[in-house]
Amino acid sequence: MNWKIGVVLYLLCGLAVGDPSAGPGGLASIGRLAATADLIAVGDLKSGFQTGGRAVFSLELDRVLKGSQTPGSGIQVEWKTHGNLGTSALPPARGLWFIKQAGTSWELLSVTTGEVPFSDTYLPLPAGPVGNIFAYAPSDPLGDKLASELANAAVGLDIPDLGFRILGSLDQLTSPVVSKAYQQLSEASAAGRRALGFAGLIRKGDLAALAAVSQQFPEMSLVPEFSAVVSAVDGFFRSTDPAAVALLGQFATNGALPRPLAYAAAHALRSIHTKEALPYLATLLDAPENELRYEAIGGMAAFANNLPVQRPDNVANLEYLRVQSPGPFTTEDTRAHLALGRQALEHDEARYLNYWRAWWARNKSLLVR
Amino acid sequence: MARRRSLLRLICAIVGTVLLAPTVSVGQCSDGSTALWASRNVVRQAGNQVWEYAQSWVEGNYYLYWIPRVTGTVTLNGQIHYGTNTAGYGGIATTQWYDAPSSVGVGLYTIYGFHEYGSDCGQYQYQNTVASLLVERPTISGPNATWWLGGGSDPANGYYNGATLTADPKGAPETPYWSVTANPSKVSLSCSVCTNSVVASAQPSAGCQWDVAIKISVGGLDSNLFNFQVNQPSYLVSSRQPVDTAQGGGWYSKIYYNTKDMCNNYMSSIALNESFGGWVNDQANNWSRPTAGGASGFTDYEWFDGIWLDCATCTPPTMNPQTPLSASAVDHVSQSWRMGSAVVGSGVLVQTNVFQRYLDHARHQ
Repeated sequence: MNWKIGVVLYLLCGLAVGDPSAGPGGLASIGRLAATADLIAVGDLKSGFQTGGRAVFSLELDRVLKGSQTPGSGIQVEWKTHGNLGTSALPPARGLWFIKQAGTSWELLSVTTGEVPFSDTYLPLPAGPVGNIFAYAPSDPLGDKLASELANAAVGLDIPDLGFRILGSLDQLTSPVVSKAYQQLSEASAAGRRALGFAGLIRKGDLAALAAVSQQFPEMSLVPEFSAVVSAVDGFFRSTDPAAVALLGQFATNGALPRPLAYAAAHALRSIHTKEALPYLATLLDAPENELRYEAIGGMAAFANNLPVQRPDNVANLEYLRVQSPGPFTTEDTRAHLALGRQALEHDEARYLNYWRAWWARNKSLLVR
Repeated sequence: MARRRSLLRLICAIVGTVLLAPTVSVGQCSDGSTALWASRNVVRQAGNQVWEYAQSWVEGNYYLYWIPRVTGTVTLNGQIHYGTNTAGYGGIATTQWYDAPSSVGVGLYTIYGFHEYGSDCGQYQYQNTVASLLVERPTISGPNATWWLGGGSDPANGYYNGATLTADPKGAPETPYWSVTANPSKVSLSCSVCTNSVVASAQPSAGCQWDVAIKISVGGLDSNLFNFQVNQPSYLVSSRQPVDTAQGGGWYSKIYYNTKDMCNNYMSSIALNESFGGWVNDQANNWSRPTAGGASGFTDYEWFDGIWLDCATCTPPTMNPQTPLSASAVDHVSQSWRMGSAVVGSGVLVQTNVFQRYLDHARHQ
């Protein structure tokens, strides 16, 4: 009942003291949250209060995705943070909540890491039931239910930042609903939502989505969500399908495309570095922008030295730099001329450019048929 | 007797010697006990020493009536040795060589033996033998890179400042000796005479390139150089436009970043922290100042600096984000970002910017 006393004090005294907080944060792993939480529910925050590093609120449960609580029941939930939340009442909110039982009380698990305000601790959801296309049964797997709720929010809500957060969360779920959600978004009328949908599909290696993006310029490149498309190509799209490589090659060598997308395509080509990527990389050796030339040098070197394809899952462990058995083009010289990224290249770019141009001239006939 | 000879032949086959029965003699220079022996082998005596030999001799009641001779030829991608030796009556004819693979080379060492036996009774016998041994350089296997994170690791997020390399002596009897032959100041080895050595980072490489070389040696025979590099978080890129939302009567600004490494790859989920210099007021204010913090455990590539202030009674009072945003600066501070640790001040410095607060939002400049 402490929070109610706090609300009364707040209202009586007219306090409006805010305290500053700042610090880094990011999206928490939804998989870890789902495993840790005892209760996952769609619910409405009816009233609550925050002061110092603590928030307490009453939550009315609407749909229970995990846990034995009854829809329609209410619980009191507490959230503790190392940050300073100031002192204020919590506004009503509807969202997806991850909650852990601690003895007889309930503790909120934040969907955002770091010292964040209360508004970042849950995922906002639209009012009402889940739309037909994403409707699910209570007996469906938890991943499907979570994906359905998030997809429904992505399609139905227009809150700054939410689309990006949902995109990041959806991507962590292995559910067939995820691709359906991305597909739905990619067909939305708003360019921003379409961009998020395409980004999600591209992250999953969808060549058709990558091709479709090229038909959406310049409108799509003007929305903030376009950055999600760029990072999807830059960091995720690693299809070695020759058709995908050709499309990336067209993106990277097209001077009329938004430069971030061209750079991202060049980086993807470097990361993939199949034989089919080499003609495009060779062209980029003569590109006017050093961002493109650096990627070209790196890609040629990665091919010649038979390095693995760089994917999101082999960056932290550096396995993409692990020398496999030497390839047919691997020599001491190709190893000596492996250089990826600006720091390795900016001081002596000409030496690397000359080497790889000459290498391509020597080997082109063997590699292009 | 026949069983004993069969047993003898079996033993000969195992130890690499060859037994030949003498032909029928004119006089009495042999009997059922006479055996014409041939032996040859290539033996790795040490990591960098190979012994090739061929021998001929005779045993039995009449061995003193026989003169054995042997001609040996050793090849390694072509002939490298040739020699003949003839023993006296009852002696052992031997040709042998000792080679250092570090100077002669590695590959398939083969000795061909031509064994001859002549007796006082006019008998002449010969036989050919061959033996081979593949001598390889020792090898190193394992990751070709590790991280420099300012001296520590970030195990919760899968970033380590060391890598275990494994030596394969390729048949050499010695325990491998490890050394760093290029840029030894950038890494350290956990042991120098061992099979598995952990390479720990001490400094970053000069860019994403193999500028560290490691080798092992077995008795003086070196491995090929093992290419290695020390990667590090390198720089931040703005991942998208900042988002400013109302927070009570104030504001909440989120400034988004991706972290890239020296190889220009996104780094996911790495621990990070901020630190502040001295604050400077742009106008008179009593705004409280945040303390520096760190974060770890986020997923995906994107993280943000979240800054908020809700203080209607402050001077100046905070405002909800306006359209357009206010240009009225309140205060600023130098802010540094380090990667690889959530502890303030630890990790690799990747960016220093000005953290600027306005009436209704905040920005990095």
